[in-house]
Amino acid sequence: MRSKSTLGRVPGEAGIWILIFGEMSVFSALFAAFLYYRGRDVSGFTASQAQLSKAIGLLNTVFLLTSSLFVALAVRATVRMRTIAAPRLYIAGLTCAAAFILLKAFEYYTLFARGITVGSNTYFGFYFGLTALHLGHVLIGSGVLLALAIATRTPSSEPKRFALIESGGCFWHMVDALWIIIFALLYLVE
Amino acid sequence: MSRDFSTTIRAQRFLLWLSLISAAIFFFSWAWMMGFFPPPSPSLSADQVVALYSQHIIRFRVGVVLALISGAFMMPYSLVVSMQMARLEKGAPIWAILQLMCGLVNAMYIWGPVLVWGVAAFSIDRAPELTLLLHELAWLSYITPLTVFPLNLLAIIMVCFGKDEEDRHSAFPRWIGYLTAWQAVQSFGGPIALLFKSGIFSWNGLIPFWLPLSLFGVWFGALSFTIFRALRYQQQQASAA
Repeated sequence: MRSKSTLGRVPGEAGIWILIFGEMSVFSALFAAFLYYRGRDVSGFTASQAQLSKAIGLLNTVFLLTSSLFVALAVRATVRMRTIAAPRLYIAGLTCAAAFILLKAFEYYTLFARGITVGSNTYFGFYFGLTALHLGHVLIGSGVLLALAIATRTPSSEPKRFALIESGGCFWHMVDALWIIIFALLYLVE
Repeated sequence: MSRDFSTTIRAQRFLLWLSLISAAIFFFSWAWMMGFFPPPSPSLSADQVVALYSQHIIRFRVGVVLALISGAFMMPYSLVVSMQMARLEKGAPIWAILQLMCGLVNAMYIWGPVLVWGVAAFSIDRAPELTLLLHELAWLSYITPLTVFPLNLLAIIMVCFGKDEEDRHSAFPRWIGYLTAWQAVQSFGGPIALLFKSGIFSWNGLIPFWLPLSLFGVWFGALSFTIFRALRYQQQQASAA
């Protein structure tokens, strides 16, 4: 598959990059808002942040990074027409996503059990708002991974189909990248 | 390969124009006459809400009337979209039917809340809490029912990426598919407004209001453009045949 035409080639299609940059701009605005409000109440935000478990956040980050690795391998397997390996790798990525979702649900549960909810204070308003919005993206991305796992069971060298598959992979990497920033802002910034 | 709907091209064009003009009238009525652009804050008290309505009560009520007349603009739009989808689908046009169903239900959430706002303004000298209740009911009905919208958009996305037609003259080029997908993802921000009374997640905030509205405007315009383009091409094909 290596040829001159792959040099400087943009993965996926132009359309998915509009989607991805659009979404990242939206989240950037949210991150900016978060930092602004944090600047107005640093001690309050730091105290609230201490209520979160960095271990859970880190584990979730590992889950998503691993899932991205599987998805990258899956796309490569798709290129090579590996109709057994590719679906399995997408499913592996999906499994990591499921682990992320379950752990996030558990984290929410531990917070609710301590009486901390979306309305508790500004920090937790952002925490729940950001993570819920991100979770929505994880759910949509999981649907995409499932569709890719099913679609790659049959081999196809049609370039448009591959562009779509690669675009799906790019969307998942965006979901992962957004989480890394969310993790840093919500759990680590001091 | 595709169904022949060429006899309906004029009707489709008419319905699309009708939809665009109604949408413009609706936006003018809702945004300026009712004065809801930018939206009022969800943290206003009952008395503040009554004062807000009382300021230009006649203009508000007339705005409601105009908005109710023009508020069905998504109905003809959804029909034209479905017609364009149906001509591309092989066999039973399942995605077109799904889109039409969802478009129909979705359209109700545009004029339904306007009616409730009208009732709120109808007897403005009632107990303020009652007016606040109607005001909140209308706003949350307008902003939060995500419900059928992602399904509506999913149907369109399926046709964008599954069609057997060149993007150049199609009503559903691939870039519309991605724009629609972005719209679908962003629309999930709506229901969040039920949890916040201020800030970026409230009904006048970035996530439930500004983003979905801007994206909807862009998407509505873009899809209208590609449909007009497709209708022109289909008419040329029909007269050449």
